[in-house]
Amino acid sequence: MNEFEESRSLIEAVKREIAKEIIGQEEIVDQLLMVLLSGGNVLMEGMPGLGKTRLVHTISHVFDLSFKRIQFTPDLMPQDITGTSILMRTENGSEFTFRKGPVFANVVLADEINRATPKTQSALLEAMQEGTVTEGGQTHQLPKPFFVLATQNPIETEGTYPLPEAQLDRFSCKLNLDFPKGEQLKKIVLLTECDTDVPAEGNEAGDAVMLGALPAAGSSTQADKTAQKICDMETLVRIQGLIRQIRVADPVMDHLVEIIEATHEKNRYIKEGSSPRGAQAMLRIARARAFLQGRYNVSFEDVRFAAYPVLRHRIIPSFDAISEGISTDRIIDDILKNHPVRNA
Amino acid sequence: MQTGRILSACIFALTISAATGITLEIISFFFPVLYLHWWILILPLIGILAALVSGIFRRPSMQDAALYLDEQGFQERTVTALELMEDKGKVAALQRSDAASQLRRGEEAGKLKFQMMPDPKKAGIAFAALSVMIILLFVPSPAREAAQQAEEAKLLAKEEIGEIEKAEAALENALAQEELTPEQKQAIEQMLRELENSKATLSKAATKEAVGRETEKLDFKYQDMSRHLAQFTAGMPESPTSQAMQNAADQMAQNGGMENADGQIASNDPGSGDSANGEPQGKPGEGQDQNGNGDQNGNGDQNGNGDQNGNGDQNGNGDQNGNGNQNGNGDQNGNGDQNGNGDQNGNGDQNGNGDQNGNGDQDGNGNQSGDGDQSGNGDQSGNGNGNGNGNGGQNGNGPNGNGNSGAGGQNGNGGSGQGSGQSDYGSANGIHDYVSLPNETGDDANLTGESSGQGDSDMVRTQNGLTWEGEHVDGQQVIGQYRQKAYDGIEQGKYPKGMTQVIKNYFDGF
Repeated sequence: MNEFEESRSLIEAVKREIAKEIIGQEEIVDQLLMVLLSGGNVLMEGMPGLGKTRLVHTISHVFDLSFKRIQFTPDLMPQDITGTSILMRTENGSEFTFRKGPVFANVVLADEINRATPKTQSALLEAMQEGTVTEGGQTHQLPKPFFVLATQNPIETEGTYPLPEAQLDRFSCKLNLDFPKGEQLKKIVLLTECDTDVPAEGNEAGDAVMLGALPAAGSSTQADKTAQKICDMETLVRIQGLIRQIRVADPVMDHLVEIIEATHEKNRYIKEGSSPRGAQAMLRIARARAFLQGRYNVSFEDVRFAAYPVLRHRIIPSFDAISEGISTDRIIDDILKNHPVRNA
Repeated sequence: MQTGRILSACIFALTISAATGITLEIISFFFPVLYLHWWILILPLIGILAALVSGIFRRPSMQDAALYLDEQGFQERTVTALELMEDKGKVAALQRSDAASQLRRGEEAGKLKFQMMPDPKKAGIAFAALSVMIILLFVPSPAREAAQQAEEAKLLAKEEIGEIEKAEAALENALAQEELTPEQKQAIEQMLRELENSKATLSKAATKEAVGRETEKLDFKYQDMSRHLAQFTAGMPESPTSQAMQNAADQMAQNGGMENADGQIASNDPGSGDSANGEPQGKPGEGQDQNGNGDQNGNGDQNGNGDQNGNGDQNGNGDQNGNGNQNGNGDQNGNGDQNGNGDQNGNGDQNGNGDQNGNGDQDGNGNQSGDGDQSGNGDQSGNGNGNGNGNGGQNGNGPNGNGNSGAGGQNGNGGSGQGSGQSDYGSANGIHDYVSLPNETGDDANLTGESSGQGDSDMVRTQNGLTWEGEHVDGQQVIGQYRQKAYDGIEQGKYPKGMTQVIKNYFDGF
């Protein structure tokens, strides 16, 4: 077994661990892992209470990464994110000491980022871009790997500061979290509120679960219920390096470029198309997907899959699209339909 | 893969060409489309040729083949492996190995296939389109018939124009000769103009009928030109000029359906039977003799070089052209012309309205009655009574003739046997009109009637008398103008068909 296959097996184990604590949302978990493995950052949009915090926390736990959560509020200051210098009394007298902010973690959850002021948002986004924090003339390196998951609430838009397009561009992907379906919701409630065994993921929804029942013989241990650490930082960094070596054939690259260029073609629903960062992000996500599927090369399908999370927040819809209720996902659907894969 | 591509391209080309053909055919139902059947034949051939050329030059590359394979579910492993053939890196090797193993599995599962035969649906559509195209070709419509007519007319016109060009070449050759008189030059130039007019009319002819009408006029022109050229040639000494004129005359005659300018159409018929009405007798240019005792009845032309011997009557409306002798006791009745160099021997009557032109002897005792002209150089012996109205008189040198000239006048000295030549009726040169003046007794035998005895009538013979005052115009010029007007009218179709020959005969007499 070569290192690619070992890494793949490890990632499969990570998924299984995550599935212990996160019911459903397999696609979201896969995409989150793709972004993490490609070294990007994620903007997630979903209703409150869908388990975003728990998900990120679980991922950081499984990978043994430091995790910090920042709740963005309108009164949050930039120094509250990056850290600040504090006058400290030392043996030699008083001196300023830099106290690192919550951004100095491997995994940072920026909750409701659109509630903070633009100045505060910039502080985080600048740190994401540069990988460093400069304070008092000193530059402090952020830890590696560095992964930011920012969330936005699609409702409660009053008193919020939507991220400008230039700053949205810094997020590799935007994921939409959907409300869980009936059976998934039941399992979530059982998992969190009841001390019972929840049927493992993949079982049919019809399996009966009794509330308050004693654990049956041979029932799961604590280790089976909660996600365990099975990976570490170095392994993650190594896997990120492997993924960057996944090859791309010329026709596949041409197709990727064709899709990005298509966002700039005359379209009544597009006000502004994707930047070149979108092409870079698409390739990274496509590589990560190819890796997870056990291939050493990127396929047309990987590129077309990556188009949705990567371009969703990069395509600026026009007034016509907004007024007619045309979502960016539909715009991406049309683009992909009009630019099919080149046949031999 | 290339074979499959070529076959697919051929199917596509056939579909497109069939669709184009169907479109053309639908248009042809409403608008005439020339050479439609050729287009229907050529379009699929062009399509297939283009497909073959395209298929040969657009040879699929290795990348194309790899992509084609990957479409079978190999997720671009093959094309990536192809690009990494020269890469010695670890990941490249892993990728190639992965691609190879997948291809092997695919081969075992029967996935590695190159489709050579084109899509049956597309082939079916192409076949259906071609069938519709062929079926529509046979559906008639007025526009199509008009187009077909136009095509046929074009072909016919092309043939005729070819003949016109030969005639023009011969005329231009004659025109280039130095020994032509100004009148001859003018005449040849007029002939060229007339041929050009016919050419222009034929080029524009849209129906066979139009071509036919113009061809008829053209035949008339050819015959007329042929005769005129032959007349120019007659009496000319042997020279390049006369040869050129003769060649031109022969070309005209050939175009007009005659053997040559002087010939008759010879008949293979030994002349033992009667010809039916309306059938031309004999074949042109065979030079056969017609012997026997037969009557020729009907409306036919006798052209060629042959002798007509025997005792036959020629009745009807026919022309006898060429160099032949008519011996025997036959009557020539009807409205026909005897042109050429032939002798008419025997005792025959020439009745009707015909012209006798050429150089021949008229021997025998015959009566010439009717309205006809006798011109040429021949011996006239015998006793004939000339009655009727001859316009233009009797020209030539005719010794030994005791003829009584009719009201048309017999100018010259034919009555006394001393033919002195040409009579120029109305010419400024020569002796002019005779004037009768009252109160003098005249001795003109033409003054018939009973004298009342009351008063005197005078007759004076004088040259350039009282009535000679005024403006004088050359008679030939006047006749020429009338002739030109008549010919123009014939060309423009002003006169009924049956009258064109009559008009021709009338002016030929001048």
